[in-house]
Amino acid sequence: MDRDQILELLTDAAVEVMDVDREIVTADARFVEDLNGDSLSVLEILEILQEKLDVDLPTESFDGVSTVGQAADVIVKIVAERAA
Amino acid sequence: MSRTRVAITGLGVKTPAGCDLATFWDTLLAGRSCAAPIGRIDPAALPVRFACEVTEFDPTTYFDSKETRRTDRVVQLAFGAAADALADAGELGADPARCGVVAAAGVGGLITQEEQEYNLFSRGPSRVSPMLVPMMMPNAGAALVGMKLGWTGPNFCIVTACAGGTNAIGEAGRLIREGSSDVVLAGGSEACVTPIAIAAFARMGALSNRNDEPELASRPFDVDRDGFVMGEGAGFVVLEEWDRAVARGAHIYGELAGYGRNSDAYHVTAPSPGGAGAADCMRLALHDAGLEPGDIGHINAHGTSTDLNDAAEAEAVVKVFGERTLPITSTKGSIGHLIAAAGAVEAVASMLAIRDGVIPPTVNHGATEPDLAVDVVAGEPRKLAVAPVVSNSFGFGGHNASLVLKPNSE
Repeated sequence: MDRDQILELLTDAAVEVMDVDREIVTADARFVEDLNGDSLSVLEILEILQEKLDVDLPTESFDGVSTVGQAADVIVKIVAERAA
Repeated sequence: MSRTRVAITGLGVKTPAGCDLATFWDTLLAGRSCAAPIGRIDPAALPVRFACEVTEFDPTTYFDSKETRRTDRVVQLAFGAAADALADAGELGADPARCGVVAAAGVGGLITQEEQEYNLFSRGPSRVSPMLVPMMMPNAGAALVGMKLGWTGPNFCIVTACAGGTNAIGEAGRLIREGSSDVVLAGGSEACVTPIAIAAFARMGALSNRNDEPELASRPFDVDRDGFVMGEGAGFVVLEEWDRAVARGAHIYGELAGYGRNSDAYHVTAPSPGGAGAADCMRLALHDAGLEPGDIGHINAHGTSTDLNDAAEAEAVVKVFGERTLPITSTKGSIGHLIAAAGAVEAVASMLAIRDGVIPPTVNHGATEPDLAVDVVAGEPRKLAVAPVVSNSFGFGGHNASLVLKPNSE
C-alpha cells in the first residue's frame, strides 16, 4: 500500500472524526490547528486506520506527528515493516 | 430565618414510554406496557429476551457527529433528557458558576465497555479504543451535561445502584438549600440492555422470565410477579432556588420539599427484614418536609416487581402510613426498571401526577399478594385530591432514598 492510498484513508477518517470538508484535509494540514481536532482526534483516526489496514498502530510511534502527511509517513513505514 | 425552598421548574424524559413529557404521561395514564422483545441486540442466546427499550430517541438531535461518536448511549440519553428539562424551564438568566449538575448512573457506558472487552479478548490490547475510558466512566453524563452547557458549578455523579436518580435529585436540592447553587440539573440515566447485564441480572434471579408474554412481565405487588424487567432511559429535573424562580416568572411545577436517605446496612441485595430501612427512609423524608404521614396523597413506589422488594416496601409503607390507607403506584409496570434513571423518571411521573390530580395505574397489577396490606392503584387512573407525594427508590447495596414533592399551590 503506497503513501497516496494511506493519505486517502487518513482523509476519509479525518472527515469522519472531525466533521470537516474533504478539501481542507491536505498532507500539510495540522490535525489540531487546521482540522478542528483535539488531543483525542488523532487517536480516533488511528483507531479507524488500524481497522482498515488490520495492523497495530502504536500510539508512541506517532509522537511529534502534527500533520496528515507526517502521519501517513509513519503508517507507510509500519506497514512496510510488517510486510518485510 | 426560614429555610431556602427548592422549586421544580423543568422536566425532561427519554423513556420507553416516550421521549417527550406528553407522550410519556399519556402512556402511563393509558396503563400500557412498554416491554417487548429486545431489538438493539440479538437476544437469541440470552435467558431473558425482552426489555423496555427507548425506541424513539435520535442522538443527532442533540449532538453533532463527533460528539455522537465519542459518547455512549447512556450519556446521549442523559443529555437528551437534561436538555429537554432545561428547555422546559425557560430562560434561566443564571450565573454559570452558580449552576450545577448532579447525575446518577448505575454502571456507566456498559455498551461501549462490552464492545471493547470483546476487542481486548479477541484481538489484543492494541485494539482497545482510546475513547473507552471517557465513554464508559459513570460520571461521563454529569461531565458532558456541564460541558455542553458551560455550567461551572458543582458537578458530580451519584452511584447508588437503583436509588441513584432519587439520590441525585435529593442531593441537588441540598446544593440549593446550602447556598452552593441557584440552579441544578438533576437526574439519572441508564443504558444497559446488553448481553452481560441481562445475563448477570438473570443469573441472580432478579429478572422476570416471561419470554412468551413480555407485556405481562412487569407486575409490581402482584401475586404472580416473578422479577423485574430491564429498562433503559433517562430523566432530569431543573431545580431552582424558589425566590429566584418566582422572580423570573418561571412556571413552577412544585416543590422538592423533603429528602430522606439512609442505608439498610444489612445485605448486598436483599432488603432489611420488614422493610425497616425503607420505612426509616420515608420517615426521614417526611420529617425533612415538615409533614405528617396523613399529609401525603399517594406514593410512587420503587415497586420493582421482584418478590423481595415489593414485599419489603409494602411492609415499610404499612409501618409508616398504616394498612391500605394510602394509594400507591409503580411506574415500573409500564416502563420496567430503569436502574439509576428509575428514581428520576419516577419523580417526573410523581410531579405530573400531583399537577393533574391523577395517579397512573400500576400496569399488570391484577391481584395484590394477600400478605401485602397496601392499596395499589391498578386498572384505571385514580383521581386524587392535590396533595404531596412520596417517591421511593431502593438500591442494591442497601441504599434507600425518598423524595417528598409538593404541588405548587401558590
